[in-house]
Amino acid sequence: MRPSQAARGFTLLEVLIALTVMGITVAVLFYGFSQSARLQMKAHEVMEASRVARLVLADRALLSEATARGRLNGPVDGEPGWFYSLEARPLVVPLDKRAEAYEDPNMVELTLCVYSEESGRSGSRCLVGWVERKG
Amino acid sequence: MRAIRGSSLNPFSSQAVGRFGKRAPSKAFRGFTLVEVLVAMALTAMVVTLLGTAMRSGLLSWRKLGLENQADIFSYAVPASLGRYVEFMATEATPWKGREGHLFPLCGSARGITFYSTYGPAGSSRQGLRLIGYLYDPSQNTLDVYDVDILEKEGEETDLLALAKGLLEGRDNVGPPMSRYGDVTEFRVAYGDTDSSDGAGQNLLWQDQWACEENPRAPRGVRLVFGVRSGASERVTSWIFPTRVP
Repeated sequence: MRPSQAARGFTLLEVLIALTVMGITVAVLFYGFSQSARLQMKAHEVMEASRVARLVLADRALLSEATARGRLNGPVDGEPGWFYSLEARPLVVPLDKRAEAYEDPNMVELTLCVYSEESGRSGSRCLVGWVERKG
Repeated sequence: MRAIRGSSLNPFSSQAVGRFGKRAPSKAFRGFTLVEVLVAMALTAMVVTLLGTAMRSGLLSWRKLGLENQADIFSYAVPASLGRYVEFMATEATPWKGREGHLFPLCGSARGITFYSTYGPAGSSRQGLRLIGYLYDPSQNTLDVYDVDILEKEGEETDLLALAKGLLEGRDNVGPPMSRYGDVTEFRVAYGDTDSSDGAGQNLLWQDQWACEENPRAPRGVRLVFGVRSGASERVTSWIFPTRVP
């Protein structure tokens, strides 16, 4: 005795397929939300790092000490939880393949990296610039 | 039975008898028992509760993120624009009235700063000298930003020192501010100048005011601690802006 077509309800298979489709849709939506939140956090980190890097770059005395000593690191003044590392290398400009690389005795290549306590050393953000050697 | 039904002329009528007849209802059309309904209701309640909680926490964190984002934007935009004005601060090298060598004063206290700048946004027709003022009112938590064009007619002479000093001291001498920001919880300025005892002249000494009559030149750096509140979140950032004072 089979019920008529209209009153039959859904089969298990139909319900399962509907659930799967819904699940996929919801998963995609939530993935998008979480991705946007993560990007926002990352953007905030980059902004903070660039602000702290500017604080370090404003300290002329620190930069000239790093240029003289070659390597310098420590906590950033006035920014608890932030650290910098400065590395000065003699500036070597590679010319074309046949000529020898040109080394400028009056300039150094300064690499500044800043990182926060939370992100750790591996999450440090760096920038490279050329500065004049003084004295 | 099946054979008999099959031979019936109208199969639907025989089915109708099966359905509404006095016999016990077949298993397929029995309805739900109380236990089944209760279990279904419990399950539905659980699922709805779970979904509701997830939705709620999601919405809350979304709102919090939005407010933090607002505080972030604000706490970066205001110092960044001050930094731009400081970067293009008018110095002796700035030509004014056809020649260089003018002294442009900077008057500063811990809660306010006024100075002259030549910064005009790219593409803007306002490219001349302008008086910039950032004045903080801690009782109202408001920050007023002044940006006034200095226009001189032939033969006129503006007293730049008196204008900057008057604005810092709150004399209403330049009209209304360009913009007023609320919810500013902290605005502290310090002024850095070279230490005369330091031979290399690289260490900056910071002081919390800059008297413009005594110091005709602007300081070498301006330091700012800026705090804003947005909803429950508060953000305090510190900045140093080097000036191009020779």
